[in-house]
Amino acid sequence: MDEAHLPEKKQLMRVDVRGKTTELWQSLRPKLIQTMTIVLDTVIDDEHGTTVRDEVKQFTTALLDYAKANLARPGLENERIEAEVRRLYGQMEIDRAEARKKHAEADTLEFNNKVRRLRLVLGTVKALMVGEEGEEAVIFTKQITAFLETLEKLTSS
Amino acid sequence: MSDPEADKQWFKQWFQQRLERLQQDLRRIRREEELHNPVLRENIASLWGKLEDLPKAERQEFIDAIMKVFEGAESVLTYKFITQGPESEAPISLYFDLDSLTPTDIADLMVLLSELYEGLGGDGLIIDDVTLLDFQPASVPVEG
Repeated sequence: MDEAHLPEKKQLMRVDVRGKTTELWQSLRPKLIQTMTIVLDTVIDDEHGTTVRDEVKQFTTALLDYAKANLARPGLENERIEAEVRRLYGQMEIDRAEARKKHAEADTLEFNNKVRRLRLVLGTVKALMVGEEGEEAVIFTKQITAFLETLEKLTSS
Repeated sequence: MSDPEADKQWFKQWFQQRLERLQQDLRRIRREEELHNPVLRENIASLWGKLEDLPKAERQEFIDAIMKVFEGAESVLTYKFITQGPESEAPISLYFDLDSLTPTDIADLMVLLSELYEGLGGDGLIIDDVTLLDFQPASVPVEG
């Protein structure tokens, strides 16, 4: 007996986001999900087509259950990554708010431009909408094939 | 004391009746604006509301039954039903693969989503929670 062929360890970061105002979030959440679905659907790897999404959906439940049961142990490195993401996001949002104040016209940036920018970024980063209604989740990765292979091995191990 | 089995049975009967009524209503509806019919909306809301009271594992078979009823209706109805479900205030979970994305990539993507949300009339996204997840396989011995 040996322990060969075990998949490698993988680490994911889950960030739960919501709108600043609850009432607005409640009414706009479905629209955001709908828009994200439309945008994300267009950036799925051409080579793999929609089958990638289907594949992910097949083991989404297993994946999310597994994820919930496997919280990373607190450690300095983990705390550093979490703090870094919070800090960067907070700073970027502040910068954005300041830029908006300085350039009132930025407020009128067309919605289409934002979608275009998101698509551009997602040209290198693959994003997949998963999860059930009301519990939607998005998975972001740069190496979709490797990501899927590892997760498949992990969830079936 | 309440009998869980009897409760389940009662719920199934109640659900079936409501579902049949919904089916009848949908047969009459052919135009999108008729979806705003208050009786129909109340029926749908009531079905959703009851499902929310159920444990998650038991919900799916009822959702499937509702969706089957909608499958026979116009596609616009199915679409509206899904998008006009109960308003949820749950956060959206974003999972980032730390093998291929840096903290800067992650923050960047979140800013883009925040912008997208603002573009829809929202007031920006805030972080509700951050969790690191280890996908560490159990050391299951395999035959060598």
